[in-house]
Amino acid sequence: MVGYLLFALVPFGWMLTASLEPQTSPYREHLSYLPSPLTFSNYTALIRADPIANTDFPTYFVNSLIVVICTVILALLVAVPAAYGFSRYRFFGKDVVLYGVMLQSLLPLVNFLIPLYIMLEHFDLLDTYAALIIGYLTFSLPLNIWILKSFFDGIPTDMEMSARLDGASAFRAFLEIAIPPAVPGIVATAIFTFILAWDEYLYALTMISTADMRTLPLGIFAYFSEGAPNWSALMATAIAMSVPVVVVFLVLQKYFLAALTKGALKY
Amino acid sequence: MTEQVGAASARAVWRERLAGIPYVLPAVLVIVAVMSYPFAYSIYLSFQGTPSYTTETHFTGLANYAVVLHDSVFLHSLITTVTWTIGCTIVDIVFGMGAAIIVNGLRWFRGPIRAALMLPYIVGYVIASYAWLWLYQAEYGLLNQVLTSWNIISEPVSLLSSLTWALPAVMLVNIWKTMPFAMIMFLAGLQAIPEQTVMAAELDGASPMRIFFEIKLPYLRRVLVITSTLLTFQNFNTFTIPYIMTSGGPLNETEIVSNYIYNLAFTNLNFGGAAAASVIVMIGLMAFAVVYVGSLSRRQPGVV
Repeated sequence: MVGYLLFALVPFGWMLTASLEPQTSPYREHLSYLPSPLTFSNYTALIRADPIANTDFPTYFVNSLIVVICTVILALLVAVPAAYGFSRYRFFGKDVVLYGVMLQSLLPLVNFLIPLYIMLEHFDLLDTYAALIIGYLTFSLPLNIWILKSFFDGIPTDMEMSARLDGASAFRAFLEIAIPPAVPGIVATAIFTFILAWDEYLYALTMISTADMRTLPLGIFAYFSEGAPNWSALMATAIAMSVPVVVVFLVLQKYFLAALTKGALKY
Repeated sequence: MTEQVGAASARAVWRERLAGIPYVLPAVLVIVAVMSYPFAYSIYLSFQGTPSYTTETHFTGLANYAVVLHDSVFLHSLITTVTWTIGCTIVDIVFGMGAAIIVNGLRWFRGPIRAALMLPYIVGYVIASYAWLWLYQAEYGLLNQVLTSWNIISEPVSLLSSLTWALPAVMLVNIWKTMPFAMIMFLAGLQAIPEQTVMAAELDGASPMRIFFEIKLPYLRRVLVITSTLLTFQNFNTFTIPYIMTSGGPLNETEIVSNYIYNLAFTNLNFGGAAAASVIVMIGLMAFAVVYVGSLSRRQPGVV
């Protein structure tokens, strides 16, 4: 157990050490596990753009937030009804569509990247939030449908039936009867999408070209490639970048674990 | 009379069959637009000569395939990808299972420990890459500092530029990131095992080893199959870790096939060749998926 914990946590500890030191000296004489001297300047420096290092944490952060939140909302708007439809109705070609979606979602993202890049260029959408949001739907939408379907499958239908018998339309039964018990599933799916999209690198790397449009994963890379890396600043940025996902995970852990296992074990 | 009833119920069946369509249609349209159409387009593109993606393309038959299949870098990247995928998946499964069993047996702090072990999975590939880049760093990374101060090695080594160590080092990072997924899946599986069964075996004096192999493992079979498949695809599809940590180097030693396709398209601007390479990969993955789904449904009718 101790071994597992060390393996999982030591990299974080080492990041933290670096992030709390002044610019890491290339000539550290001896091994030190704790930051010396201790400083928070790497973190306070993140609040504003740094014209010398040519990095701009606040802008990257806002870009990431916009793209990720739009992806989460859009994916849910489309996936909740779809998952409900797949769970409750029988129709021609249902299995083909469902497994087609699953099969496509297992392919490497790089396979969709090239044609998507050409399409987005054609519509003049490269280097925009829209490009990233469209790209992120390629992994979030299938996942959302799959997880939410398994949640709807676990909700008994009798309440909807009786609402229908009382004269409610099918759509009202869906909105007012079926959705409320599915809320934990919806929250879980949203967290999952958030965590995946927050970390997305390949699409951002390809579709974003101007510095002001960079999301965090790209922004942090820019940090690295500007000459000799300032590891302390880099690690502070990395830790600051992980804070939102870690907080969301810790607070809503129960939902997230349910989504992870429930969706997957339904295959 | 019966005909009328038959017609009415047939209509009802049809209405029932069509009622689900409005719910799924938006999703299907979006998936066709962002996935199926690109999927088809890259097949088309793989037969086109694209000297540069902006200029006119023309049909070149299998030329792109011939070029890619004769490219030793591509073939090497396929071998690396298979090594990477199988290696990472096996370690994920074995150690993920181990972690799950230990966590499941904990009496205290099970929640916090599980959360701590999940962190590498939560923070994602980008953070994993940078955290380990820093850990492996030659002059003042933790690994080299520890190894030199304990006199295990005399000179700091740069793992990521070593032909022998670069691939295992990068694989370890991927394992760090993906193992928690296996752990969580197995934990869910372990918790689904009825306690009475295990307790009965314990009362009969079965050893923990026998209980694991003869009672728990059969229960975990389904979870095991699903988890290993998902991890196989997940590991196969990695791009970020090798890209950030080594850019595929040294000498393409850590270049996996996603990186190859990306470089061909966006560094060499050979979109046709990249499309051909991705079609080859798609065929391989689809074959794997079909064989897997097929074998699963043969063994357990009605499950898939």
